[in-house]
Amino acid sequence: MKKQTFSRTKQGGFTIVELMVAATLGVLILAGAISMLSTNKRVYTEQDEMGRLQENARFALDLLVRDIRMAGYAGCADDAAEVVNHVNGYDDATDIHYFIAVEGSENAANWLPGNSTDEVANMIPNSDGITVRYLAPTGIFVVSPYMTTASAAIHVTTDSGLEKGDIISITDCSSADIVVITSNPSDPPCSSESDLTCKSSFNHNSGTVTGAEPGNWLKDLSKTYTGDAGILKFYAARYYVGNDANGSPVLRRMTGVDKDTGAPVVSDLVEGVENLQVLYGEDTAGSDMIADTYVNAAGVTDWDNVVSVRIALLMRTVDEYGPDVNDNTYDLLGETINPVDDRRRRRVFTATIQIRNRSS
Amino acid sequence: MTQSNSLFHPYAERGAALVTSLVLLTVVTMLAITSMGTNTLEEKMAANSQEVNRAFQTAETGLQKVFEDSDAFNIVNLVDDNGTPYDPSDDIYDYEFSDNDVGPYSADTEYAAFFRQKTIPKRGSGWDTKAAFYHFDVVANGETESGASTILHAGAYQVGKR
Repeated sequence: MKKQTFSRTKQGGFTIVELMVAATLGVLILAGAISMLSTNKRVYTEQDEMGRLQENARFALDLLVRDIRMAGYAGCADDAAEVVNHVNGYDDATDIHYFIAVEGSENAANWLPGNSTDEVANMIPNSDGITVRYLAPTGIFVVSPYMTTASAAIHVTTDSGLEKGDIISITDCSSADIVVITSNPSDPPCSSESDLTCKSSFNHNSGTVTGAEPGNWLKDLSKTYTGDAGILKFYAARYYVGNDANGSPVLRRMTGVDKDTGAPVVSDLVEGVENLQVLYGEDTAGSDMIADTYVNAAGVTDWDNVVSVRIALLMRTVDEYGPDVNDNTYDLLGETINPVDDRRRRRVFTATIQIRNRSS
Repeated sequence: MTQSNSLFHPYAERGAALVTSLVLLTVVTMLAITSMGTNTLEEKMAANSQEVNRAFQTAETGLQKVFEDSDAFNIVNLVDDNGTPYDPSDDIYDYEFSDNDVGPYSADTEYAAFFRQKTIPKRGSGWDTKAAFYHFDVVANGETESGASTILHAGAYQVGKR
């Protein structure tokens, strides 16, 4: 039986016509399948890249919107005029510890209104930057024994998490004082977390204190705070677009300077952000806290009247793909941006944010 | 002739196109399934961010309702957790209210005004020392059907007798 398998009779029987028909059909089916595969792969790449682009855009906008919305918050003392800043450099508008709610950099120029040069060299030349500052709530309250003099130490609950060198604000409804904590809050052993009688205290001395740079210029607070007062943490962030280690544009944030080295603390936040444009809504007429004009940072006449902010992000896909070169220009809030011609796709995202603590 | 023998039969080799197509089809199917997964995830993230936005807007509605409610900042209406009326020496007194089905997407809002502190009038406010500012913390919570929620705080003060 085995021998019959290789017998000549079984191997014969192909005509050239049969072979050609079979080959043609085979080529047709293969061609169809291969074209389907390549189309599918292209669609998949496109959707994947655009999905990532949208995700990045959503994340970046969410971060910016949340922070900008909070700008100028100073606790129950809702008026920035009532905030007394004890931190050295408080009146030096180039300092990040200076307390003004919003600052802007137009096309990588110095930050206005203070003329600070922070991170300006690292910004992409035709992109804007925005700085927001506010006092972030901590849920920590002042407890007894209360201050007897304006220079006395302040007592808070023990699990406060505050550290020497932190810039905080002591705030009640009529005034607020921003100070650097100059001593680590003393931490007596407590019987339990909920032991409300257990407390720690910290100082706010003036002069040079190692580990508490930049220090306070004035020790005495504007009043002796009691149980109505809370502790808020000073927060300042400069957002801009810069290049990461690989030379790709990213949304970056500078949050102050390192306590020990004095180097700026900068973090890369979102990849694929190619350009950021910011317009400031200024209340120029009627003091009704409603924006009358939207102008860029160089066009703002009084930064205290900025009540809303409009931002636009030019997002690009992280990778290049497809055969088509993208040579489009994009309109970001009236500014025409012409990115490098490459095989990335781009989208523009905009948002308008009301600065809640500036408007009624 | 047995089955194994037929494997060596030249006829068996004519399925190459079919087999290759099937392999490619499998790859295409896998691509499609992965892309469906990615799309579903993207869709969920987009939907959630919409829900969060709705919750935020609902909480805004709640805040607006507090400011429109003339009873919210009246100390007479403030009670503590036990229903005891306002006593200036004690701390936490609040006015609470809630509203369901705000807007067209059945979101709920709850809001409350907490009395914080009595202070002398601000400089330049035009009120003399016979008046006092009663400061309130206004809290509004917005929650959508799917469970997204936002809590907003706002400050307010009412001018009253010292």
